[in-house]
Amino acid sequence: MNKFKNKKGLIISILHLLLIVALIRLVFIIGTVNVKPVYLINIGVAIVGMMMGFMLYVCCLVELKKSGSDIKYMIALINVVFLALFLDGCAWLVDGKPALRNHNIWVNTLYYMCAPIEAYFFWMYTMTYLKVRKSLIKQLSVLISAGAYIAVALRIINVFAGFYFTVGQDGVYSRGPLYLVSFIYSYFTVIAALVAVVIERKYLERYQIITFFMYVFVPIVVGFLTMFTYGISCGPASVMLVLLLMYCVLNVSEWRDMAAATRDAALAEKLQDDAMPKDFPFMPGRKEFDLYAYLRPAKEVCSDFYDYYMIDDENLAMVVGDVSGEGIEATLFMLLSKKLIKSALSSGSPPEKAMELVNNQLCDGNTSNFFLTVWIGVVNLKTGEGFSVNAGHVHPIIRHAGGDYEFVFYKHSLAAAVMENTKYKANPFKMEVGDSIFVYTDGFSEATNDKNEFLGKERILKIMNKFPVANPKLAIENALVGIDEYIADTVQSDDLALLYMTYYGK
Amino acid sequence: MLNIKKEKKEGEIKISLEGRLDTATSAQLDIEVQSSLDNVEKLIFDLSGLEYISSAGLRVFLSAQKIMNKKGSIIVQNASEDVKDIFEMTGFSELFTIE
Repeated sequence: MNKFKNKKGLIISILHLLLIVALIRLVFIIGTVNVKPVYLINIGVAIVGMMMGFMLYVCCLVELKKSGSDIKYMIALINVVFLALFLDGCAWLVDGKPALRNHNIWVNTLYYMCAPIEAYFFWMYTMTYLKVRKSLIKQLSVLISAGAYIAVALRIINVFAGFYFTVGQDGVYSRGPLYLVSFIYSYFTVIAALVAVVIERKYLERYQIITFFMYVFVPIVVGFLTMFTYGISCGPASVMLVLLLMYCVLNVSEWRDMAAATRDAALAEKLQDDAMPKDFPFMPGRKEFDLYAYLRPAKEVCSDFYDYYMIDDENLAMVVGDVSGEGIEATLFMLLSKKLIKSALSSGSPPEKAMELVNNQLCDGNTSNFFLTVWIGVVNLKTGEGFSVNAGHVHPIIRHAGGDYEFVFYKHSLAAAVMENTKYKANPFKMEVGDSIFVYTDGFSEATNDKNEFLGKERILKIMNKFPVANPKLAIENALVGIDEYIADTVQSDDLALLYMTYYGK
Repeated sequence: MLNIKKEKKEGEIKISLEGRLDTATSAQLDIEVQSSLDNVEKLIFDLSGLEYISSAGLRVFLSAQKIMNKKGSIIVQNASEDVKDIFEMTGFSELFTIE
């Protein structure tokens, strides 16, 4: 696909250059004997305009390759205006030459076609730029594309009927009685696009609005200024000039925003990556347990997390959580939650009290309505006894020594950051020698295959029980293989955090 | 896809949902809910046609709850077992009356 695009871009660039050379050659072939000096100015302006168009086209190709942004209508506009410039240049050369009468007709017919097609692409470019999704606009788009076909068809009919323009037997072009009618479609479409710009103005900066308006008003002003000099035509060239301006103002300013967003995401990604402990094997000197954890974001930044640390010499804390919401805001909320939990647990609060404290802190000023589902387990490595708190999180899985994996069901407390002063319930548990705990996020249970079906609880157990080994790293690798086999060619849609601990006892 | 149907009576509104309430559709529901809570004391969600609710969907319920908390109540009706499970698991079942 990309290769094809590259090839297409190269062919069109070469075509641009060939047309520029062709117009210059034509000047010499046809000769300038009977061409008025003012026409020569027009031809010169057309050639310079074409060169500008060529450069703009190459810039767009580079941008398309680099950023992949949606500028295909901008590119289409450039190509149409480029063609209009070429045809305009030719029209001045062939005018008034009886031998070239037929060329004069088709050149002008094609030239007339450029205006409605330009207007259509301007409309499409504007709609894509504004990201308009209103259904009324969509219906209008259908109408406008139909109108473009009609306008083109009318220009073909004109060759025989001559209502827009005619070329006499002497080879002289003259306007027809309905000349002005030929502008109706273009003006209607362009004005409709500007109305859309005005409607969507609150999403735009002032300079962006002005730029859109210039597309219409610069050619009009240029037309007015040149009205008094007979035969001079700078219309298409001025459109190309405005396209250059639009490209610079609209697209370059978008790049800046995009560059900022990319930089923000990279910073958040670094913060998030640094925040997840990865010191495996964790405390190899401690023979009472083994632990492994893994985080796989769906995009650059994610809102799932895991954490583990020794609270004191005997108590190991394990945390797995998921902040609802996406983007950098959710990532920052996640990092904050993770640190608050660690700080509360480290100060000696039991898990349910720690959650109460963290919840109230997270509720404070949470206007975005984020919430956090989290599982916290604190286990005494001497006795294997511990407490867990489940604040709205998925059901953890345990495996008793030598047994199968199974879910642990109990009544969950409310997710955190939802309601102030929520009370959390501590669930006591006891791990025997060889028992394992496996905690995950809904990226596992809701992994989605190509039929849009969730992996679900049963398949989780099936995957885990395929190799019921009590080795944290191997068990997590097995889970990842199972997930990847299930989602196959579909894209991982949700973040995934996994934490696995096996208790070996004293 | 999510179909949203609203029936408004004196001081009461019933919002029926059909389809999937996920990241893609929750923004649409949020707008619908936020714009229809004036003078409403009783907000009823009929979830008989709801197949799935994601955490983004739960956030819509959460923001509705924050508004209704001050002036009335939220009732959730006819939720499927799967949807009920999600309410139970996340503890959101504590926030509303689930019928």
